[in-house]
Amino acid sequence: MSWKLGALTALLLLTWANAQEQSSIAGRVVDTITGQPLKRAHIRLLVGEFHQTPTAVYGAMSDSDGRFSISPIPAGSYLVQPELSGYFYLPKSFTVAIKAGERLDDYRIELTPRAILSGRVLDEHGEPVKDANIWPEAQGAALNLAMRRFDYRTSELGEFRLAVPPGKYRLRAQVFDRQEIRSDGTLAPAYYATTYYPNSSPANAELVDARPGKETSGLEIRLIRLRSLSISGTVTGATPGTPVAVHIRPEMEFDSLTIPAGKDGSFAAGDLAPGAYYIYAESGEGGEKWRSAELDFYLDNDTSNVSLSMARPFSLTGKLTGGPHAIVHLEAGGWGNSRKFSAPVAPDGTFHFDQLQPDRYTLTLSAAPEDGYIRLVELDGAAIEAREAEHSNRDEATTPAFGIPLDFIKASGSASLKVVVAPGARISGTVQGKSGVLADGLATVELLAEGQRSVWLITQPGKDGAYVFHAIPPGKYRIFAEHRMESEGADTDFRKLADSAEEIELHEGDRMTKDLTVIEGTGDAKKQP
Amino acid sequence: MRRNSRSAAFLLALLPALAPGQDAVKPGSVEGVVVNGITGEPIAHARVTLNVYRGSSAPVKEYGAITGEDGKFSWSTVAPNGYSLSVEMRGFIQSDGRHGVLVMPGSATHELKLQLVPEAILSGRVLDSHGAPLEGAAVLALYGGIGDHRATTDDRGEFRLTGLPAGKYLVLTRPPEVRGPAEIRTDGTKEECHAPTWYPNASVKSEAAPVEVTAGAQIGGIEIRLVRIPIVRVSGTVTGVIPRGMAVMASAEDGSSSTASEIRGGKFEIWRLAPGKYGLTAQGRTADSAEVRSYPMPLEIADANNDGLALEAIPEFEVAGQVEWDGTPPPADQRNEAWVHLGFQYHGKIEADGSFRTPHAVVGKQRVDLTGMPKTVYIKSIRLGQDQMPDGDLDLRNDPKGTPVTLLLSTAGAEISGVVKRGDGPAANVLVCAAPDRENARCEHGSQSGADGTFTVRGLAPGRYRLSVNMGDGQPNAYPVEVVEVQEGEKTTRDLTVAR
Repeated sequence: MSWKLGALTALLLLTWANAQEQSSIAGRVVDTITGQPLKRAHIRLLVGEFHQTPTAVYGAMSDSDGRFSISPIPAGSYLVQPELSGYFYLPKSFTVAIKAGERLDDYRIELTPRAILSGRVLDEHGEPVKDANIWPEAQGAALNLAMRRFDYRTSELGEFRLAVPPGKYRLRAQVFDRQEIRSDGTLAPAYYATTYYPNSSPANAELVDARPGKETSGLEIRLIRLRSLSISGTVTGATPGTPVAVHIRPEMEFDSLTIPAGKDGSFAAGDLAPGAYYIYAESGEGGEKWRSAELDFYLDNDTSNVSLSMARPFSLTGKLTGGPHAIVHLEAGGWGNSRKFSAPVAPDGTFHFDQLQPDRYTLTLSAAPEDGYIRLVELDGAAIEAREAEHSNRDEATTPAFGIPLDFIKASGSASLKVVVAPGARISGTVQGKSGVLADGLATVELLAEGQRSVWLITQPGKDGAYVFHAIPPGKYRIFAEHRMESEGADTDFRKLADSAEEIELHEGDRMTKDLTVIEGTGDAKKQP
Repeated sequence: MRRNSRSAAFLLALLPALAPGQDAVKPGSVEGVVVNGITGEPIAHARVTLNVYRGSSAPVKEYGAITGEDGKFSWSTVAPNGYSLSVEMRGFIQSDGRHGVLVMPGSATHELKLQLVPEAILSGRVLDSHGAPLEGAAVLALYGGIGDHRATTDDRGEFRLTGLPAGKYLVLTRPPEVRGPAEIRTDGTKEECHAPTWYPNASVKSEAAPVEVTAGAQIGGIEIRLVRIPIVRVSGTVTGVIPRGMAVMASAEDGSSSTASEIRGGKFEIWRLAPGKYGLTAQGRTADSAEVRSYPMPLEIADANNDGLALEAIPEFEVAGQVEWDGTPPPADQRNEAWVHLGFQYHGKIEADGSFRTPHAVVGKQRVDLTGMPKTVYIKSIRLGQDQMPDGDLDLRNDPKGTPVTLLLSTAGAEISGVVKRGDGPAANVLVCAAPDRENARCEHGSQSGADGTFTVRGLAPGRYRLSVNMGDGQPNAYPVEVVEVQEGEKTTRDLTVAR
């Protein structure tokens, strides 16, 4: 064979191979409700990592028969992103995988016509309320994801306008930062309940029908006014003459209201919104900071006789076995108000905390042996059974993610703690979807303790689709992976997923490999072909 | 139960002395009137509030009132504290900002005057180049870069811009952002792309038609048809220090858009820039929060790709220099708290020996400003090493690595003074602005007119200036501009007359 002929043969073979491996995708765009073809829909197939700028984009427009085609298209995994004014795309899976040489010729893209809900939010006097937040809650299907709001808040005329997938909704309105003028010229906060259309609590909400391609207008939500409430009580146990401050903090906020207690220890605060609060008292006694335990309570009526008792700080001595270089952490307080104390473990296993305030704490460890979990905790000789939920993620995967609750509300003087660390289990593997390995951002893996729902770990697979859970206490678990998009859906779906997931049993020191396939959700949207 | 941080921070320093909330302290009183800033007539049923800056978490009293038919409001017993006074009325906007009110024990604050002007509303639709309504487009009403108003089009392509003061506005629409490279299509259709478009359908600011809005006007039917543009690519490499998260920004010279690109493997790609002039800059911060920049590269987009652009990212550096005086310097006690500012962001104190250092400066043309000097002082020239810098900017193309900056200062700044008149009387409390008479020059020198309408602008370098008046009533473009030329050390007078 001459040189030229060889080259020609090679070229022909290459061309043939290309032709063999040439892939394409074609299909139809249809209306989910009517099944009718949709013309002039803009189809985009994106290459690249989730949430990042795509590195390549393939596009097409559907014709009068709803048909579209992209040919050739390189084999690979694509994010499908169709756009058509007035429609939502609510698929089970947003990705399509095209294999080398594959000719997908009936890929169906279903678009859901939107419905418009519009109306006004009014106060108890019938005046329009501006800057009210409005949110539609879909009933049944987990479609909240697709919600598109044109305004996050009502206009100066109290108006809102929302585009939603067709279905039944409860409409919820909320307003903050309203004030009214009292007859003495002072301002008082005006509180409103989270109000459902037309003017009720969630239980009595009327369902609003959102019809495909139609506008449901004139929806008026009349906000339910709440009475502002007061709280009063007494601080005991402080040294007479020492100033005592009482801190009252709404559960979901960082700022607390600080009021001084009177000389007799009494305190009172008014103008509070109904809701959940934390309350505690604080004083400086000589060089020591004294505190009362933090009470959490739900204020739904004027409340008096709240009793806060100041307590002397106490000390805690402990012994840890199985983790010579660990650091012991104790954390108290609620969200936004946590107080964390740490003590290193000495070579002989002892650790020591001084000046702790009586309170509820959570014990955790860091720098513990890899996969070490807390097997046993004894407080003053009595074993503590419960474990607390803590979420984990990839970056923190080597930290034992289970906290142990310790009730030191009544502690005084000193307490002693025994902590035993033992090798926990590890479980790892890769996550597969229909179209291959599911990487970063596309799936979550969840590990749930059987019969003890409070131990619940979540992680996301890395770029290679690999996941790992470390330092798991022995026991029975259910493990499953789901599309990340769907994990944001309704809670009922999550329970179903959990119950249908595989059960596994882990023992101390186990190293289990478990490859997972994403569980398809139980939502209403139709499956892709 | 959310609390606003209110911006009366200056009053906070006075609070501890006042011991708020203690009943033994004698209250003060506050009264005033709310008027229509255009007609001067009183406004009834407006809601006036006295709010406290919430510096502490202790409970405080705040006050509210509804104005009577005569526009008046009053509180006879107000707890001593620092307050900010504001007014709300549907259909009106407050034109003169918040007022700080300091209530002392037993004090009586009266004759407060709050102005409201009727709000104007602009509404209309945004259409694509085929005339179809476009959803999710941002619509901005701009005047002079301040107090911009913004809205988003709904599913019908409709927008409504509310709360506008009277003035001449440019209306700009930005279509929803499309990310990623140009689409590859095989079905014979072509991807369409729209430019940020100025009302009614101009892709460049100079062709925008201003919309004149009078107080209280409701102007509907503003229709903006987006301009279609060719899809082009701007690409290149970034060398030097590239911290995580660094981006390349293309900012339109007319402010109509700003587009960012990630940097992957030292490369960047920006797609879909509309034709026009841009500045291209790599910007980022290192883990220890040092700024990294590339020198802004001018870029002109037409209908072709711009590839192979090279940007060099340079970490922040120190600029050190020396102040010199042309003639006699002012007495030392009049300049012992003087500062040099570069580009309004980087600052260095001028020491007694005239030296200064700004530890965190970046590449680019940095505007040089002084504070803490007598008002007659102006910057006569700027040198970097031996290089003379033009137009009051310090052109930093690279880390100067110790090359000193020399600022030649003079106390012989020119001065323009005069009276602002409105009708037969003086216009009090208006801002007179002197900006160098060249394109895109900022108002560098300002003076607030006194009760008798007098103003004085000092410390001007020799040259031509545009004098303008901002009435604080939201009509910044409604008054004539005068051009004045001054020589070194010249004191000249010019009276300004504004319409009512």
